[in-house]
Amino acid sequence: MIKLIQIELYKIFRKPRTYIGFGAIAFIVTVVNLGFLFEGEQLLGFLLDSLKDKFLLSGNLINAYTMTFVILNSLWIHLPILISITAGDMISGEANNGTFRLLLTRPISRSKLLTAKFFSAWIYTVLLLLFMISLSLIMGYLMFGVGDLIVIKSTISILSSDDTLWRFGYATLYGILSMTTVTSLSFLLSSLSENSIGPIVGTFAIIVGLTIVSTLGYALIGPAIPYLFTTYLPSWDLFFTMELDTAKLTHAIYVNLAYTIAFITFTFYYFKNKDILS
Amino acid sequence: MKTLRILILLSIFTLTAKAQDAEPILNKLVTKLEKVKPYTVDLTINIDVEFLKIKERKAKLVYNGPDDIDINSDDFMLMPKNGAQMEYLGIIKNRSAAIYEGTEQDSKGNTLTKIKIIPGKNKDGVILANMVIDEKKNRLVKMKAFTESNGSFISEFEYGNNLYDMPSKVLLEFDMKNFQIPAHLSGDIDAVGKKDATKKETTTGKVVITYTGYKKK
Amino acid sequence: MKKEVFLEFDHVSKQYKDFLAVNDLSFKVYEGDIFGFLGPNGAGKSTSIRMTLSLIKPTSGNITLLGKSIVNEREETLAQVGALIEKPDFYPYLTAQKNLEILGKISGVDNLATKVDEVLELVGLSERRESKVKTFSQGMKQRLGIAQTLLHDPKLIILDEPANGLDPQGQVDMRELIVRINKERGITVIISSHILNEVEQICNRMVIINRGKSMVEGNVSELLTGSRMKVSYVTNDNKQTLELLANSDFKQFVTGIEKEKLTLLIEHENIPELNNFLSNEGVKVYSIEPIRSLEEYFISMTK
Repeated sequence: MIKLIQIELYKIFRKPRTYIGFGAIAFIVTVVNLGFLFEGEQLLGFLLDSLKDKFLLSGNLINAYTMTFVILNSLWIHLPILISITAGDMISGEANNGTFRLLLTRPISRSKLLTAKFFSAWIYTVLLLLFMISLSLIMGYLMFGVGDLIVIKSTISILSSDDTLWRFGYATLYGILSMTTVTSLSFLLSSLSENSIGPIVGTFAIIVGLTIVSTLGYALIGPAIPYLFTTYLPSWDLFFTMELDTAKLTHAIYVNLAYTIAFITFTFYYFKNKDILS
Repeated sequence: MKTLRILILLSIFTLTAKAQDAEPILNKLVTKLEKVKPYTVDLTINIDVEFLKIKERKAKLVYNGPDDIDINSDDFMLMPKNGAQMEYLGIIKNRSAAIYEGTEQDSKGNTLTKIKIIPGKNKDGVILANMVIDEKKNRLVKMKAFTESNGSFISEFEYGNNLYDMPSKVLLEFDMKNFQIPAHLSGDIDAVGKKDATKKETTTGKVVITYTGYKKK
Repeated sequence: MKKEVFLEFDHVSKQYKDFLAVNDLSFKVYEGDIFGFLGPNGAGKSTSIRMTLSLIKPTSGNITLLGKSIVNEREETLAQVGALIEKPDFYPYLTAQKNLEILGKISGVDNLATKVDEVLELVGLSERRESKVKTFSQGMKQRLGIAQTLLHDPKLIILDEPANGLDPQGQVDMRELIVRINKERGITVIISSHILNEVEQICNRMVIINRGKSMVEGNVSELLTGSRMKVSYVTNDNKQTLELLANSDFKQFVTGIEKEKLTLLIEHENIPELNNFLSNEGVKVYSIEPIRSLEEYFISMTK
């Protein structure tokens, strides 16, 4: 199995498209950092307006932690697209390439091959996420240093710098979980498709579609919203409240796990019995 | 006619007499505060604002004179603009009128003097300050100040055995605008499309500052 | 000597939604055969081959390889088979060697490096081993396709239209390569094709299928003798020869002049007689070429 995963990873990292993800993240991180370098004070000033009336603010709120937090906010929309570029190509790419005929006529079970492919896509996802977070932290540190993290939601939380790193650690683990759900969705779409555009567009459409429906169609699908995996894509930020909402976190974790298992099970079932016509 | 003049004089005298009652109290306090030499003190700041979640902050205050105060902290810090420092010294010194308003008892049975001050020069935007002074100990105990454009604030001072008889604790209370932010800006997806009807336009902010370890500079 | 049955199709059918691609197909391939799997486009060849390689599951019937069911013992049977199906597609962004290494690893080949060297040498691609496959010509890809079928020392290789897209010299080379593999390595070969001529030149046995059904199965030479074949002649004067033949006993065989060649549809055993006749009439024959097409074979069979 390890040998198969090595082969799949080798193929992933020999494909130029694999580096689109890393390039895009490097670009996003750099742009956000530069943006904050030039406009950060102003933006924060605007957000902190109601505090500025009554308080003198001092200290460095634009720092590696705040930068990473802001960049993580793009996680739930950018990362799925980047993940689908690779995960969505894992199965359909072989069909499109004609290499399925070579691969699936080897004396190895389809399930093994699929497992290796899924783990390789998952490793890519984890690497992409770790790259994003570590690059944000490092670039933020070099440009701004560390400091307290300001989290602006419906309330403003200011988390002390020494109370922050563990949150990023857990947020990363949660991010891995929710992106695993995205990976398995892309993987499922990949098994249904014979080209890689379908899974990429499909993943994106499902995530954006469900998010929009959740927002605008509240009256329509309101009761279903707590059970959609898209609801919990941004839930990594539950680790950035003063007191953790463990009930909500647990629910989010269960929903992600349930979808991941469902997506993967369906993929295996479908693919094991699929007639390969490509 | 004469009676009237006497009456007017009497009333002026009464007013002046009351004012004279306030003046020495204030002057005594000013004298004490002006003797304060530069010092440093450690601050612990606890902020209790509905929309703000922040843990206790620590800072160091360096006092070089009433108009030369530095506050340093390694962390991000919020310091109330009004009421925490010795700005009352300025209000008292620049008073255009001070009115003695009688006395009240605190919880321990101490008699405290109430004085209303109208600042002369528009010091810190304060247009009226009600002060409660412990005459015996020569300390400001409480002040409610009304500003021109920034609402009102209440400062309560607690004392210990400190250098220059400086306060050990200041409790502040003030009204402030509530925090409103478009959900898409905060990235708070849960809040999108939901309007919080219970959210008021203004909210009360409370800050408790503890002063420890006064040291001469 | 009775040879061992290597591959057997036993009443195999494949039904797609509204289309019966393979209809109760039965045939046998024996050990050491170069077996021709013939049929016009759309006859069900591709589906049958994919079923042999368990890329497609049969709707009914059994396919067995050395007595083992392909469906139930998929991995064990696939270990005995190498296949090149349709186009020889590889990972274009990898080198020839890397492509082979990957496929060899998945097949669990021992001494992979030696094996890769060996098969590259065999197909004449040693010098291009470090080149990415995307730079390869169709012929090179086809040869690399053959190389990958041999990586895990299979007992059977299946080649789907191996001469497709090759120039005439390439086709000759390919045929030689296939015969060598069969003779030197004792590997049973199945060649699927829609060109009868190709099969006739190298296969010993064949099955012809049409619309998913077996039309005829047996020894190539036996099946083809007695049937009419199309032959083209190039002579010193084709028009004159045509007139000559039109007034002779051979007039029933003449079909006309195609692409400056005189063509006849004639039985195998009548060809020497025709040659004698032309020679006696002083016609100079420069070349005789059989151009047997599957369609014509079908026609001749049904006559």
